[in-house]
Amino acid sequence: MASRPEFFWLFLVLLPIVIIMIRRYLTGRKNLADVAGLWRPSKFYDLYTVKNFFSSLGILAFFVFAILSLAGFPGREIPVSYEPAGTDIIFVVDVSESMKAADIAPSRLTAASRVIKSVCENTPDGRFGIVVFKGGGIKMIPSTEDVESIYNFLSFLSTDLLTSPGSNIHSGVETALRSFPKAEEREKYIILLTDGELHEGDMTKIAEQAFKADVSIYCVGTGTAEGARIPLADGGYLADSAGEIIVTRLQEEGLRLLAEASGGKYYSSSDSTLLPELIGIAAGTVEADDSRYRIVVKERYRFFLVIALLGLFVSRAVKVIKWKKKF
Amino acid sequence: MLIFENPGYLLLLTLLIPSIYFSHFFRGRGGLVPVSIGLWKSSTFKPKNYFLRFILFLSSASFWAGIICIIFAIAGPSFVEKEKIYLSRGIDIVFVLDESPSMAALDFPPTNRFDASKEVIRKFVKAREHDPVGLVTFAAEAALRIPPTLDTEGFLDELETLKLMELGNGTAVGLGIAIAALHMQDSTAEEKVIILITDGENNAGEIVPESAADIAAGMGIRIYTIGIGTRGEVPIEYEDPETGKIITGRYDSDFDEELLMEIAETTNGKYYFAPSTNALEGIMDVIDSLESSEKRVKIKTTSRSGYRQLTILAMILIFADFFIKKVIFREVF
Repeated sequence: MASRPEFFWLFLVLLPIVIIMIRRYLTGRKNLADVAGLWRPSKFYDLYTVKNFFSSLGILAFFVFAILSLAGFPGREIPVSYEPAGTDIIFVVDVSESMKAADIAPSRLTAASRVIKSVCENTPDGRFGIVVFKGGGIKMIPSTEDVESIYNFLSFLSTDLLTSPGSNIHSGVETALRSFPKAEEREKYIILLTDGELHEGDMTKIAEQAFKADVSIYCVGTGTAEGARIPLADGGYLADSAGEIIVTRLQEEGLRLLAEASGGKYYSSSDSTLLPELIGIAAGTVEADDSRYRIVVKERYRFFLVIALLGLFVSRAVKVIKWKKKF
Repeated sequence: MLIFENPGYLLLLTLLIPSIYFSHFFRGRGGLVPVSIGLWKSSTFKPKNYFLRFILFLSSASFWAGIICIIFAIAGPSFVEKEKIYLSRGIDIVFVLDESPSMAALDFPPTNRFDASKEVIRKFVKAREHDPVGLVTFAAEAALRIPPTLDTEGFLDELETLKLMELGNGTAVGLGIAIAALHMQDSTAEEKVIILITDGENNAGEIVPESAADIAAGMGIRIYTIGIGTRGEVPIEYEDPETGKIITGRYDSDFDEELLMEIAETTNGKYYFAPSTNALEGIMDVIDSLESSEKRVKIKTTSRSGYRQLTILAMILIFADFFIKKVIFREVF
């Protein structure tokens, strides 16, 4: 269906237009009676009615078809050749307080760090970068083949890296999207490691942004549905302002949505397929066949615009051409 | 760049002239009711209010402008962007920059040695979007600041934040080279280059420069060494990062030219002496041309259709005409 259905709201504009047209038609008839008087044949009225009808129809056709063209309908599919030269992966790691929870031993963050390490270790010649996020996203390691610097960074990965409170997945992914090197054609992936506790940001919006940038997001849900308390340094647990101890749980739905809408996949950190599949993606062995061609869908709008233009010309022509040598 | 996918449709514009003539100037046009309200055989009646006539003119003009917009939209306007895509792998370049306090010497007017080096590195990197660049700095210790990356923006941001003396007081040339080499070991680049910029003698670190150079040579890394600074006594001014105090004084500048020559020789690189900003810039240009690699490039074009904007504009113009004529002037036909 329409690629931009929000433009259909413009159809509401037609309503006042039609009302104005009818009112002007009625005043027109009255004026005609005043001006033409009784000595002119009543055919004048008929001509006025018919011409006015078709002329108004032309204007309405213009608006209707212009709106249809704005909404845009998918038309021809054009295959565009595409030869990715390897892959580019940015890990986006949640370092919010809830990542300290130990529902995956020893902690969610350590589990995330292990996933990153295994993927890097098993992908020689891969290129990786790391972004961490809390209240905002920060690029820690730019996209590089130097996995040594990745391992180095992982050794001091902790929830104390950033001070801004929160868990802004949106900002994390946005930072990652900006971190892909330009001037190269590689398959671009984001591997997002988080417990999905979304405090800010809208998943569908993020997915749309990633999709537009040709980046697929693979989400790894670190945590369990049962959840766990967040340990503090003094041996206690994090509590809210009322003194209740907070239990943080893995929120899968949002991550699943984000992954699928951006062309990626969701994994729970306990999935046995997690590592082999992520390594496959990193090594570029997945989807290698259908990525030679990318389908670009051309929007069909010219047809509608031509009819809209025709409507305008018809409305003018009906007005200007004299009928029966009278009106 | 704006192009039209089917410029042939622009021929529709020729329809405008007869259309405008017939709807505004042709005397035999329809839609008029002749009424006599003037004197017999007097001149034709014309409303005298020029302001209202001007508004009417604008209204009609907006109608025709709307039609022009639609015709342009039909011709398929698209904004085309051309993007260079490199098909070949560039060379890896890691800068090893001295950040010991002596780099604060003010013999590179208008700034000191350190800022002058930063400036030439910035220029060099900007011109090399194809090659991954990294950065290692050293003083008493050495640290990787940026691993070799094509993310030029990230590199320049990090370069901007560099400060003198963050790694203590000393000149660990050997450590600097060793760290740079370590972070190039996973590289798939066929050619790897280290550019070392220093102004001192090696006096710190657990690795002697000679053996670091041997390691690099073993990995096939070329090292270009640049000795920076004038000889003799120079004024110096820097801010101590720990206390925030500005320290000024004079410093007897000298550096171990022979060591730098030796490092360059063992690794098949070259040694340069840079006593001034101009000389430093010239050296960077030379290295830039020495290390040019064959590039295979393809141009990728992406286009974004602009018909929506034009169609919306057309709708606004046509609606403006409709509104002025029908609502303000209460035109009945």
